[in-house]
Amino acid sequence: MAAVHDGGAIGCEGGVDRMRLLRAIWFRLRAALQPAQINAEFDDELRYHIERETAENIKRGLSASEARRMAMAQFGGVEKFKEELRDERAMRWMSDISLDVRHGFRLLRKESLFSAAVIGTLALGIGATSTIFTIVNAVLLQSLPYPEANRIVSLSESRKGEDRGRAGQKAYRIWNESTRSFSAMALYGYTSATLTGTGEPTDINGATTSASFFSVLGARVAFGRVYTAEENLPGSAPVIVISNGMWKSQFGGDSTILNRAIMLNGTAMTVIGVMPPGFGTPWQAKYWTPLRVVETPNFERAFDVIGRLRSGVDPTSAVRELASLQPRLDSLRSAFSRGQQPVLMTLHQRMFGSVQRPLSILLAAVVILLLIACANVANLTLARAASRQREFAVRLALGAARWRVVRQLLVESSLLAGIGGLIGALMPPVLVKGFVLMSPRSVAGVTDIGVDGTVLLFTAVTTILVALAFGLIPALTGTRGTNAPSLATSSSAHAAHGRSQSVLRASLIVFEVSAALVLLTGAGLITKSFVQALAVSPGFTAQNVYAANMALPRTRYPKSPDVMAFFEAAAQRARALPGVEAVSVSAMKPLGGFSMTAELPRSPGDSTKLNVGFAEVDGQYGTAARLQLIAGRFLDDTDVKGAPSVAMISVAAAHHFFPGRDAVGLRLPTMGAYGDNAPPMLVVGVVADVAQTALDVAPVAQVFVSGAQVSMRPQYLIIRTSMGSDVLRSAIKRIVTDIDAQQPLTEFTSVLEDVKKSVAPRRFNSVLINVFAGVALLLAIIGLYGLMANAVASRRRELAIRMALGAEASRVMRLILRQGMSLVALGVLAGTALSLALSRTVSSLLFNVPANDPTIFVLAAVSLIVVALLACYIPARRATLVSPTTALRQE
Amino acid sequence: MDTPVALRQGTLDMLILKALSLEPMHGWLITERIKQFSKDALDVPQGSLYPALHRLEGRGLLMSEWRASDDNRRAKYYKLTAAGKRDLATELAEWQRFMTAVQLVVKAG
Repeated sequence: MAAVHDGGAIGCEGGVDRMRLLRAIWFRLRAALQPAQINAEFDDELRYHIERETAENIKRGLSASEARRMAMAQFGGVEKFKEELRDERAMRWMSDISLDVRHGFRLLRKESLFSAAVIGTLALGIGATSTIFTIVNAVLLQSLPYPEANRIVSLSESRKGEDRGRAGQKAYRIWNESTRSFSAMALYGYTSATLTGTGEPTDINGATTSASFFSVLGARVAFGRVYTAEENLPGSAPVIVISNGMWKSQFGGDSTILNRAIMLNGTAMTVIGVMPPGFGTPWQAKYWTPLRVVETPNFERAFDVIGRLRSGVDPTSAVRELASLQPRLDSLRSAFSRGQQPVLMTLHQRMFGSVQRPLSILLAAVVILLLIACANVANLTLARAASRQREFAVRLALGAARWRVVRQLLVESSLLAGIGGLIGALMPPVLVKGFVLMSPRSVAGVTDIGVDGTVLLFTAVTTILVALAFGLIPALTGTRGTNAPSLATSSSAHAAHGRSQSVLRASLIVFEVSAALVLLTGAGLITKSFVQALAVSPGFTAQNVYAANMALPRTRYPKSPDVMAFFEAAAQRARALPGVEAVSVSAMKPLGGFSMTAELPRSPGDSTKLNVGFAEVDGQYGTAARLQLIAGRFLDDTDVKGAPSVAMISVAAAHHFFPGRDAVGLRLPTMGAYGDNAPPMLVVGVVADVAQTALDVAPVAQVFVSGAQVSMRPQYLIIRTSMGSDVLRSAIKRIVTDIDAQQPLTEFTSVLEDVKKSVAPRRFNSVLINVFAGVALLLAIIGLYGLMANAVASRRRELAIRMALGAEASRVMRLILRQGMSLVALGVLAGTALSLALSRTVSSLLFNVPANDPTIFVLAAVSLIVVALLACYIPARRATLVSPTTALRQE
Repeated sequence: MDTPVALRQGTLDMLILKALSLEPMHGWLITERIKQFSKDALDVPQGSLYPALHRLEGRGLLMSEWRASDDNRRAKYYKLTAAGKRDLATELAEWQRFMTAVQLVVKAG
């Protein structure tokens, strides 16, 4: 078979074709870049032809003017020909685009409601997506700002797979002395202090570290020096290294800062160095001071430990080396702290591992939102394309090429996407700031999240994809096939052409509804988890309780009785304050963890072990924190040194040690926690389980011991009062200064605030996902409403006839409602199925709520259906108001 | 002189490629050659020739350069690219098959 030869497409054979493609591209590029020169060349080429033809004609014996006229005539008008050439040369393409753009802008203004809906939807979708992506990028994707940051690891010890992220100081010493896997290792702790002498006293977060901290991170000072190992020894002069941010904000970037003394918590400290910008990420520390570690035989403090892996050492072999030191470590420890496992992970993982899941889920939610936004835009565009069917038909009939019409539609949608994308791109900087301000510290480990190139690229790509996606569908379907019917009839044309389109639009609505339902359900589950967490009884009454923390330095308060004397004096004076109901002296505060924890058997030799937390408190703690007494009595002021050794235990502890028995009056087994020779403690009371770290963390079995009997080194005054927070704070501050003028009030917190803070991540996630779900619902409803309004408009004539023939208004309304709600029903079914399938991915974010919680599933579906009914009702009601005469006359 | 035969676009493209396969030429010379070879039966209208030349160049089958012409003036010369040569060969083969087929039909009965 011979085909008509119109070789069009570019072939498929290696180098020849590549050359050919390059030539074709160059040809068009030149036309676009040097239009004037190309034009001149056309003129030259044609002039040559005409002059040559004229010359030949003269040779044939024509007169000069006749010869020229003949030559010109053959062209049938040079200008028309040049026009054709220019078209061939792709220059028309350029001018047409600018025409399309201008036309597009005109349309944008004319159909302002449609444009606003599309631009708004896109800006929202793109803005939200790039905001979350910005945060994910900063928190999860970017490495820490240190050389070879992937070699910086966090080391810790875990018991029974429970990793609290810290390691005991003995472990650190053994590891540091005896491993070869690490080029440097450091320990550090978080701290904060009040800076005075630079205007308003300011609380600043910092860290106390070993000198090796800086070499582990591989960072150099901007100027000055960092501290040495000698300066880590007790008794050396107090020195401090400050961050670039602190240097700039507190000292105005003064270059004479070095060797000056600054007042931190009332202590003069000499500034020896300023770090470069970015150092301190991800800890939010603004200053660093030498950590002074004193090893005491009976007490082992736990610290955060980081190390730098030697190049070529992989984490697994490093862990193996750490594990091999375990026997040596155990030989240095008392029985109850033996048998821990070393854990190693990258510092990045340690700092951000916990937010990975919530952030990924937020990202997924926002991507669903973007998809809904795209579907909505496609829907709006389809609706408009349908109403412009006649315009396309006329243009096609008048000879416009199909691709020309398609191109115009594409230009229009690109314009909308471009504007929407631009507005969307302006949103992340603002929204990210809000996110960081609002988010709990655990999420905003990165404070200065900048919108960088990656994110802009992400936004740009999203925009372009969106433009193509929603521009192409109506562009292709709207101009397909024969267009005669569109011209011939009007409302029936919709039926003729519109079948495939209305199916497409209906499926888009079903998709939107189902996606919105997925978000609604997720939001419901996460919100219910938050509510459940809030409803957890902490085992104490947080209202009106405050904790004042005084960290008394060992230099001035070397022994427990010294510290006790200070706190007793402070407590006595605090009790005299008006409105104060109770004051307790203790080593920890409510929701402030433990004095220590230990893995304890039921009775000596028993294999059932349980992690038990110890809290050293005085006789007033039960009253001050208002613990819930279940049996017996609280520890009280009679439980002094020399009196029988006693303890107050939580229900979980009672259940562990004395299953099925009344614990009061029984003795706890000797546990070695307070030395192997300590007498067994008599249980005097049982209290309800107490939340120790957060409301949504299952309480650990707890033993309260009398501080007076175990040489407690107290840190807190726990104060129950009806006094306002600020008044109390300044009163306590005065008391502290009166007793010891050099001692600052290290920290003052409201326990109620602590409780709220402990569920802040949940609150944050639930607020954000609710916003997403709300926007998704809004978009889906706008889409549904648009579709229904459009359907009613295009069926006006039919509805009018029905009404004229006597159909009741309620019947017409049911007709329209059924059309809309059947789509909603499909969407709800699909969305519910999808939610069930996806619910397992959020289960790690849930608390006391099953992932397939029926109440939430039903509630989400019902609320969506109710709102959808409203969106269908308005157009349906309008349909019943159609006046037959007007409707029929309009055609 | 008979009325010139009307040319389809595809056919015109093939004739241009064929003419240029002999030697590089400028536009005027191409019409002359085609007229000459066809014994005046084919007269390429200039209004189609130049668009065709530019289209073929745009498809990468031809390339062009300005140089001195046979009458010692500057003219735009076109010549075949490798892709153009290959395309011509395909088109000629197609054309042959087409002609043979048509011949068979015409001669039948």
